[in-house]
Amino acid sequence: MTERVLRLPPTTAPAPALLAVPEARAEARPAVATRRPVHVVITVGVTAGLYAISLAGVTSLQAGTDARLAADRAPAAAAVAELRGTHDAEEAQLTQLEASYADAAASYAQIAAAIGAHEKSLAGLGKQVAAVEGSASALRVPTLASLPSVSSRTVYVSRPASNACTTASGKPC
Amino acid sequence: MGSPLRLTLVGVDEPRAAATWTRVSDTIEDLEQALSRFRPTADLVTLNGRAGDPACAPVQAALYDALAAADRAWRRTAGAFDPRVLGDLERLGYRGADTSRPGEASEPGKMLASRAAVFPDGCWLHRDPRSRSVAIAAPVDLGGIGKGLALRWAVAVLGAAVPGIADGTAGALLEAGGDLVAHGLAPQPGPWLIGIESPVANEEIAVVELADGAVCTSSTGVHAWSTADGRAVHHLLDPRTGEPGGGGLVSVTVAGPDPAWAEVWSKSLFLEGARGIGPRARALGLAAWWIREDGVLEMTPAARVRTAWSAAEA
Repeated sequence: MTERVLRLPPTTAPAPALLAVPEARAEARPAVATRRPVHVVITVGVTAGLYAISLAGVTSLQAGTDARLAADRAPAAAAVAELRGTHDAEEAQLTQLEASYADAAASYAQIAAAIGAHEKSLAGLGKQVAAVEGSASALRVPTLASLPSVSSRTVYVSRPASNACTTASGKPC
Repeated sequence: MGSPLRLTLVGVDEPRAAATWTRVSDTIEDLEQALSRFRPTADLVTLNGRAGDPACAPVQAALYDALAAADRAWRRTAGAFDPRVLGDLERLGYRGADTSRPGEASEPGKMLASRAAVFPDGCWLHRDPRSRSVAIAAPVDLGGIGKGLALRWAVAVLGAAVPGIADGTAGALLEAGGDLVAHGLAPQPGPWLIGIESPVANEEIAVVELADGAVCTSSTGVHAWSTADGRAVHHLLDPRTGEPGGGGLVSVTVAGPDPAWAEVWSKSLFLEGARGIGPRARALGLAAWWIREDGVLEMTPAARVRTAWSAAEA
C-alpha cells in the first residue's frame, strides 16, 4: 500500500485574536471531567463476582458430571477391552488354523501325488497280471501235486488224560 | 514254602531218576531254608526281624536273588505285585496253610504302616550287589515268587542232571503245589498236557499244552478264611487297598517260559478282577486262563492256541 502525502497550501489567513476567558469557569471544569461514580464501580465488582461464582459453580457441576459419566462408562470400557482381547485371541487362532490348514493342504497334495503314483503302479500291475493270466491259461495244470508233509496239531474231541493239574498255588489236584 | 513237590521223569533209568530226585529235593530244601517265612530259622525270617533298618546286611545268595526278583516284579507290575502285603495278611488273620480256624486280627494301624513302609528314596529294598547285602523297609513274604524261583532254579539242576532233556530224548515235569514246569519229552506224543481244575466245579475244565515252560495258578480255592468278624477273605490281597482283590474271579492261570514270572503275572492279573483281566492280559500278550465266580472259563488268544481241550467247547 502506498501512501500519498497531500501538501496543503500555506495558510494565508490572519491568526485569530485571543479571546478572554473568565477565570472562574476555567477552574471548575477539570473536577467535573475526572470524577467516576461509586455505584458503577460497585456494580461492576458485584457483576464480576457473580460471574466468577457462576463460573465456579458451572465448572464444579461440569466436573461432577464428567466423573459420573466416566464411572458409568467404566464397565463398558472394560467390556470393550475384554472383547478386544477376545478378538485378538480369535484372530491368533484363526491365523494358527490358517497355518494348519495350509500344512494339511500341502500334506494332502503330497498324498494325492503319492496316490497318483500308486494308481499308476496298480495299472502297471494289472497289465502284468493280465499278461500272467494269459500265459497261465496256456500252461497245462497237473491233476495231482505232491505237497510236503506238515505237522498237525492234535484235536481232542474228548478230555485227554493230563500229565498234571493246576488249581491253586499250594494245592495239588 | 509249604507245597508238596513231585517230579515226573521220562526216558530216564531208575538209578539216574533217584539221583536226580535227590539233587532236586536238596535244592528245594536249601531254598526253603532261605526263603520260607514259616521256619523260625530261615534267612528270610531273620531279615524280616531287621525290617526298617536302613543299614544293608549280607544275606544268603538265594535270598538276595529272590529279593531282587521281587523288586523287579514290583516295578514291572507297577506295584500290583508287592511282597510287603505280609502285614495286611496278618492283619486279616492269615497264618499260612492252616486256615481252618478264624483269624485273629492284628493291630490294624501297625500293619498298614508296615505295608506302606518305604525308605526315604521311595524304595522298599536297598541292595548292594558286590557284598550281596540288603535292607528292607518292611517285612516281606516271598511265598509265590519264591516258589516260582525255586522251580526256575530246580529246572537248572534238572538240566544238568539229565542232559537228555535238552535234546528231547528225556523229559521232566516238576510240580510244586499247583505250580509246575515241564521240559523235554512228554510221556505221550506231543507236548505235556496240563489240566486246569476249576475251584467251582472241582474238576478239570480245560487241558492245555505245555512245551518247555511253566504254568502257575493263583486262586481263591485255597488260603481263604473268615475273619473274626465273619468276613470272607482270601490271601490274594490288592497292595493298593490292603484288602482281598480280584472281584468276580476265583482263579487265574498263566503259562510262560519262566515259573517265577508266570506266578507274578497270575497274581497281578487276578487283582484286575473279572472286568479288567481280559484287556490287561491281552495287552501284555500273556497266555492266561481265568475262571469267573460263576464257573465260566475265559482265556486270551495266546492261551487259546495252547488249549488242547475245553469243557465249554467240547
